[in-house]
Amino acid sequence: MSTARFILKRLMLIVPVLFGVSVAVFGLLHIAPGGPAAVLLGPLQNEQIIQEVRSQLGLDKPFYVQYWLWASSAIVGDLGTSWTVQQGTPVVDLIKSRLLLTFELALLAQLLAVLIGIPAGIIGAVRQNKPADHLSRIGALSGISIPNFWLGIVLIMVFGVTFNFDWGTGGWISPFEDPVANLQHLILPVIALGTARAAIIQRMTRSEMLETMNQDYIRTARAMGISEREVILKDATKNALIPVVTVIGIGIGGLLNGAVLTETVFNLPGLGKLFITAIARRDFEVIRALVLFITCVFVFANLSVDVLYAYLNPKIREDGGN
Amino acid sequence: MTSEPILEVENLVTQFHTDEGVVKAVDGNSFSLHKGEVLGIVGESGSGKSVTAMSVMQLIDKPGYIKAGTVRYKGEDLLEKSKAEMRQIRGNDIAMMFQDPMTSLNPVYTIGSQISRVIRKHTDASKPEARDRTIELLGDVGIPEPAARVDDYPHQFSGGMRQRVLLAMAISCDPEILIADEPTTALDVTIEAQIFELIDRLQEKYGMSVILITHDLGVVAGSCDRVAVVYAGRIVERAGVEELFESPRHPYTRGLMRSIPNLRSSESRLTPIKGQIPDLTALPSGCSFHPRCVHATEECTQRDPELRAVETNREAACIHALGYSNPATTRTATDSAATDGGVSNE
Repeated sequence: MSTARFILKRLMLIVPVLFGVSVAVFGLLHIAPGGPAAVLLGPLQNEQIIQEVRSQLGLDKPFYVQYWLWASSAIVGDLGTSWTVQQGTPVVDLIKSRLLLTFELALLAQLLAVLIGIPAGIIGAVRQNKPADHLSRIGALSGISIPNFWLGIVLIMVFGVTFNFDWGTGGWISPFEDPVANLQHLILPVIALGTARAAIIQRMTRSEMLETMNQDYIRTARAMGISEREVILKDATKNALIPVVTVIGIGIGGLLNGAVLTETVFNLPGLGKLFITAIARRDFEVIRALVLFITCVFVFANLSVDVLYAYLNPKIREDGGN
Repeated sequence: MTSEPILEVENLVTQFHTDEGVVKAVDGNSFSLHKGEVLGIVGESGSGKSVTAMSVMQLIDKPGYIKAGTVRYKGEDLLEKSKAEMRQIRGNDIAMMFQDPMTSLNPVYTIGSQISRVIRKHTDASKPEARDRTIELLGDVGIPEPAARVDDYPHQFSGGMRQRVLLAMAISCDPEILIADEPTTALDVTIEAQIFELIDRLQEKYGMSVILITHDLGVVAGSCDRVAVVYAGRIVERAGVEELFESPRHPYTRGLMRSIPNLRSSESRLTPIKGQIPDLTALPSGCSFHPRCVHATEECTQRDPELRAVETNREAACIHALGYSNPATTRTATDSAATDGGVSNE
């Protein structure tokens, strides 16, 4: 099977996944207590007005009718307008305006995690049980153990409060406005979000490297006079990284979840913060759209992992991932 | 065979530090290899054959280390060489092929790139030159349509074909010595025969000397000029291949021969060597073979026999070396040798 067909097949799988996820979200919101009507009306409310608003929003219709109305317009790209977060604004616009920040944050955090995690893992494996390895392992253990929101708060306290840097308390400046300030303001959120990922990648790389270094083909390379450096960086690393790539790919989806807390701590107007607000204010339209969006990101991240996997592992390339 | 050996190993001692104690995997072995010669190193699993080869290549990993000895290649002691100098020798002067072809090739690189880089490592060939040479080598080892297969990955080859690829890699820089460590153990018998035929042919074509490590005496008989029999980390007998099969002088060698099936023998059962190979961390006192030896006497439990000449050009490490002309010590041995002789080699 060709790579193109493989990708196409995987893309088609997205349809049942999105259907399942949307039904689940719809159902959960349907049975969740407290509705958008109560939020919209604030303190001035009685049963009659609430019912009126509910019927305006279509919430009095049966579940399957609501789902059909929503899904039929969602399929053509109309995800509705926000009810309570920013009343009247199309949900698509809300997401669009916050997309850049969250993606920048997630990708930079992932980049940081890869740049630290993979070399630290390789060094740990090559210097197994020596000081460098111990240091790398202690670092990873701490990284995994520290929650990212707590690390965020500590970073704000140190850089924002104690040293009083103006970028030390979070906030967001668009890269089109001032790219340097943009990156500066993202330093701490990226560290807060990337640390745990770096730790996971370090652990995975280290254990995979240790296993790979004991393989027969490593001995073959050494017996042919290949230098230790090349054996480690070429022969071992490409093999060891195959499973690490999976962890990295799945992590991209996971980073969006992590961004919820990080964006809240650093007061960044991204998708995570939008999500939290939408949940607090029962803005069903925004919640549904965001869940679908995050699902799509997950599916695409996994797809790119599979494609990358095929590049790294000729065996998979051969049978198209079957 | 020229008189000057190309490789001379003397009193090689390789040990492993483990939690159970020190494992003497190679315990003072000496052997030499001449130009164009095929030397067989035979023994059971765990007798230290592979460790001997790995020691020559200095590929012993921790917790193992070479404790003593000299490994002289063309007169120079390899154990004195730096890591960088050793890397120049590996693959270029002394090449090695291993037991398991299924796992000895890197699964994520094409076979062509794996062979080419060895060539480029040791010669100043350009990329296209190395590639052409690789295709030529693949043809040499009998890979059909080498030009089409050079860009294939290891998983696209069978075990026998992979061993051919490894052989092509080993001979890619025209080495003086090829060490083949049980090259056919993982392969079936018909493929085994093809591989040995190939090694024989290439050995002649390239004028290599070969160290063939095996547990299979049939292989030794077919391919080797001289043989060293290893037991529990030590060479217990050294002889020319014909002499060895005609009249093994060490009881262990004899035992090995009696455990080979023989179509012409009237015996319906094979005679195994009793007992097991000893724990290398706690070898028995005296001769380490004595607990399993049918000829063992009181003296064997106390004195550790050195390898000594029992005839011209052959040596055995046995107090009662079979057929050794000292009636006082070997009578029982020769008697029993006479009665049970010829089970496998009539």
